Amino acid sequence: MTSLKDDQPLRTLIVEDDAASRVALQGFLEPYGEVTLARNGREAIHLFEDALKNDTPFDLVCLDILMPELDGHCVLAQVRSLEKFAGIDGLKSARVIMVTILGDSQNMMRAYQDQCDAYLVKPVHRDDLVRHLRYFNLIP
Amino acid sequence: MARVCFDIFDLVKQAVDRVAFAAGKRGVTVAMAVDPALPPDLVGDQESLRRELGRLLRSAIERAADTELCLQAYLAIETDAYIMLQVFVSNADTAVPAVVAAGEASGIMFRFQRADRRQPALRRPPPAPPLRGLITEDDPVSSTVLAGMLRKAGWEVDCVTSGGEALAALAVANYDLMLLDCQLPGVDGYETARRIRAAAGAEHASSYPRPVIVAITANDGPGERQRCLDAGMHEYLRKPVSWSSLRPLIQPIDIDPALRPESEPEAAPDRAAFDRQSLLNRLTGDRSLAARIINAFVTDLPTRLAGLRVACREQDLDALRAEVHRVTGAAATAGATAIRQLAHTTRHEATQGRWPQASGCISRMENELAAFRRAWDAHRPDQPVAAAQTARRGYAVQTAALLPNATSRSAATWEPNP
Repeated sequence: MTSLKDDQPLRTLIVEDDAASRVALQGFLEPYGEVTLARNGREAIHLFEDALKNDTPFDLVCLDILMPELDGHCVLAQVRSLEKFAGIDGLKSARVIMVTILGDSQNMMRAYQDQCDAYLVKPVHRDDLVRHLRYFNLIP
Repeated sequence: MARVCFDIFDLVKQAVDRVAFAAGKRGVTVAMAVDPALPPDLVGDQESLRRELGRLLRSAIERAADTELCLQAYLAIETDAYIMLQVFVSNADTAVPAVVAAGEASGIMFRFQRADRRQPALRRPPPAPPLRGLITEDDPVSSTVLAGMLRKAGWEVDCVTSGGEALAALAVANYDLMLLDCQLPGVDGYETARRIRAAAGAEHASSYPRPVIVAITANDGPGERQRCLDAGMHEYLRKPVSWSSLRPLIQPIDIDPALRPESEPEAAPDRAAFDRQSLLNRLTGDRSLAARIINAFVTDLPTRLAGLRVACREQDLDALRAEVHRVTGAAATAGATAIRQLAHTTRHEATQGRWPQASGCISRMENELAAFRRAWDAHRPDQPVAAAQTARRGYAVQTAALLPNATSRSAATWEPNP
């Protein structure tokens, strides 16, 4: 992962099928670096895989859960297995923040079991997101 | 004496509405009858009449039990110069008095002038009843404190101590706001809220959720707010409730009477269409981002609603749920409170197999989208002043926050009769 001392812009992948939420997250994260958008899970996995291959992995993934085709849980599981396959683990792996309207404990538990790093329930407050970025040491 | 022009029918109706709760506790129902011969516009001391009607009704209710009372207003004497209005409360168990003289225990006479166009009488809109709140709280101390806060803000307040009593109170009276303790013995607050919404859904699926329900909770977990929203409540306050946290929710607002939304349920959602303040809070005041989010929301929502329509027509519950989730997420992000609530209701109706009602909810979301656009337009900083004023109804959305009926009257809203 890009740490502060690398002095590189934050690389973020936003996976979100809803336009309004996508715009909101993009607006929150653009000041810190490059933002890539994916509108569904399949697209997200391709983008994540390509980034790993090109040695420009994402530092942060914001992941919606309810999406057509492939949902956020599946994407999270795939992301973690791609990283494992590439020999990336621990702090080198991407921080994954689930961003969803689902506030129930089952979805939350499942996401944490699949190694998400944070779970935010919509609507997301900019300060909450930024606090997490600081906590993950992604921004000063 | 305040010389105002008023409608006797409205005055009688309000008097009856205001005692419905007290009457219900004694098993008494209160009906009303207004003589059609009474002229619609009377000029005189409306406030004295209002007080007198309340006094008559309360004393009749105190003496009655398990019966039906009727507040009646008749034209007693009519001359060129004035009319005499006779009001009394009749009881179904006792004979209705044929003639009630002034001063008799159960009735009273008032003298009013007819509204005369030549007279410089003041005219004001039909008097609005005070806002009414229902407090459901088993702890007498908290209940008293909350009631005190509401009364301080000019509200009329009724207090009950359990979910069952709250449901009973709502069956007989209309409330603008309900403060609902979540930790009640027996049926808890969440379940009470769900039952209130379910009952309203069954009776008139087309009406906007009333009353506004604010949860009062001792729980402080991260999911608490969502839990309250899921139960059909609009907002939550943590215990102990402070005046500063309650005040924004109960502050009456000034709306130009000419622009005040009609009382029909169709007009009601306007007021909660757009929660601008919480949107801007979440964006830490970034107006340009707010504009982009809302643009994305209003552009995308018609497609979502079309998807909901298809799911509804084909009675495809899974597809409907998926669309509802998307709409809910988008509406939450954009601060489209009413649309979010309606999306919940749509799913609820569909889950219960009530597809026509679900379809009705979708239509109302389409209307709400228009209201949302208006409310947003009213806030845009680049909007010319004139346009902002014509959209003052939208402006009320911001300050009224959650209150569907929040209006305040002052002398400023009076205008001379032409």
